Amino acid sequence: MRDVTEEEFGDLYAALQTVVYRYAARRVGPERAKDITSDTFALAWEKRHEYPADNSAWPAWTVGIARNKVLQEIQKRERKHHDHRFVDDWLQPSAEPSVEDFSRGVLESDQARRIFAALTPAEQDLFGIAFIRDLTPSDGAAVLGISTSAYTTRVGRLRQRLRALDIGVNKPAITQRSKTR
Amino acid sequence: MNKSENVDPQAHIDAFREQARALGFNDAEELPVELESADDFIARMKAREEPAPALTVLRRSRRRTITTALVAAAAAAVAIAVVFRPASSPVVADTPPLLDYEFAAAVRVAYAPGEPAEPALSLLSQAAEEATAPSGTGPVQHHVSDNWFSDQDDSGNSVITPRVTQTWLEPDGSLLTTDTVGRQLTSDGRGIPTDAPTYSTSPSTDQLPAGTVDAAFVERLSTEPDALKSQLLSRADCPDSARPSAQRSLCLYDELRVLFSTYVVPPDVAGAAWEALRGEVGFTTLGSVEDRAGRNGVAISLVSDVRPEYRFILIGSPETGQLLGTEEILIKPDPNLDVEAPSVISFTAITTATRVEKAPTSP
Repeated sequence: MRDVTEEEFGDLYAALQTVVYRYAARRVGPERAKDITSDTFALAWEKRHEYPADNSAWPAWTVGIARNKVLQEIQKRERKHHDHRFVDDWLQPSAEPSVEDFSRGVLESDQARRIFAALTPAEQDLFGIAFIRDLTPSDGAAVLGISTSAYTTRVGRLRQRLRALDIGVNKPAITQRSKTR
Repeated sequence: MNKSENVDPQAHIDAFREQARALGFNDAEELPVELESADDFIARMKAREEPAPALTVLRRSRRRTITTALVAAAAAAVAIAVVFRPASSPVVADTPPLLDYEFAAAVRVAYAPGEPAEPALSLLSQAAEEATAPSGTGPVQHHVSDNWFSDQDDSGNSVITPRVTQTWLEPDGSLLTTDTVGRQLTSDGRGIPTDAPTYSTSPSTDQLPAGTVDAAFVERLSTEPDALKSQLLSRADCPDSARPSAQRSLCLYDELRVLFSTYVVPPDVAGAAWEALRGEVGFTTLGSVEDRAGRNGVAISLVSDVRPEYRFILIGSPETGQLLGTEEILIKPDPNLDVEAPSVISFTAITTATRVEKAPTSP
C-alpha cells in the first residue's frame, strides 16, 4: 500500500468521476448516482493512505468501492421497498417521452434502458463493470472477484444475451422488469 | 471449448463495448449533469476534516460501557429508577418514546415479526469492512454514551433525561468513568447530541484500579465470524452455547453490546461480529431506523424464549458498521414492572468511541 498525493487524487477523481457516475446511474438512477459518486470518492479520500502500491490498479480499486456503494444502495432499496411499491421508475420505460426522459436519454437511449432493465441482476452487475473503458479485462475480473478467463467467458454470454434482447426489445413481450439488484 | 477462450481478452471486451454502444449505451465523457470539480471536492474533504473532532467522532461513533458488571449495574439502576414505583408514589412512571422502525412502526413493535436478518447483517458487515481505521490514535480507549433516567419536574411529572457517561480505559485496565446529566429528549425520543462533552469531575466520577478491565481483549479477537463467536461465548461463560439456541442468542446480543461499549472495535472485527449473528435463533431485522441521535441505523432485533417479554435491539450504522446503540423494549406485561407494554425499558446511544493519548486529569 502507499499514500496518494493530493495531485494524484485529483487526477484520479477527474479521470473516473464520469465513469463512476454513469456506472451508478445505470443501476440506481441519476439522482442517487450523484450521491454515490460523492460517497465513493469520499471513501477513496479517507483511504488515501491505503492505496494499492501499483497506480495502474487504482481505477479498479476505485470502481470496486463504487460497486460496493451501489450494491449497498440496492440492498437498502430492497429492504425499504420490499413490496416493490416504489421501484425507481428509472427502470420503467415510459410510453410518452418527457423532459425528464429526454435528460435521461442523454445518458442512455430508451432502447438501451429497456435492454438493461431486461437483464438479470448478475448480468447488470457484469455489464456495468465491463462497459467501463478504463478497466482492462484483468481489472474487471478483479473487481468482480473472478478470473480473467471467467470474466471474458461471461462477457461472451452477455453479448449473446444483448443480441437476443436487441431482437426482442421492440416486441411487446419485453415489458418484464428485473429486480433491481 | 468456449469460443471466448480463443479470443484476446481485450479484443473481446472491446467488441462487447462496441456492441453496447450500438445499442444506445453511452460511455462518453460528457454528462448532462454537472458534477463537483476535483478541486472543489478536495477542498470540501479537507474542510470536513479540519473542524472535525466532532464530525470524526460522529462518523466513527461507537460506544463504551464500562465492564460488564458495571454496565449491568448501571443499567439496572437506571431501569429501576424509571420503572419501579412504590404504590404510594404520586409520580407516574414515564418511559422514552418508542422509535419507528422500517418494518415495525412504534405501535406494532410488540408483535411485528421483522424480516430475515441476513441481508441486514451482510449490509452492516460490508459497511464495517469498507470503513477506515477507527478515529484517533493512542493507547486509551474513550467512549461517550447516552443512557437515561426518570426525573421529576416542578409539577411532579416525571420526565426522561439523558445521562451522559464518559469512560477512559487505560492499557493497564484501569478505568475512569464520569456521569453527567445531558439534555432532555425531544418529543420523538431523539435529540441526543453527538458532539463530545467536555470533561469535568462530578460526584459520579470514579477511578477504577488497574486490572478492572481486560483492555487488550479486543486486540485478541478473531476476524473470522465463527472463531469470534466462540471467543465471545467463552468470555460470557454462556450456558447451552454448543449450538444455536435462545440462550446463546441472548448471550451473543449481550456480548456484542458490551464489546462495542467497552472497546474501540477495529472495522474487521466489527464486520465479523455482525456476521457472527447469522443463523442464530431469534434474530430478525426491523429495517432502517433513525436513532436517538438522529443518525441512520439498521435495527437487528432479538426476541428470545429465555426472556420472551422483551425485544432487544442492536442498531448498527450502515455507514461504518459500528454499533450506534441498543434498545430494550418490554413487549409483554411483566408483573415486576409498573409499565405497560410496549415500553422502552432502557436504551443506550453510543456517540463517541475513539482512541486518545491519555485520560483527562482533574481540572
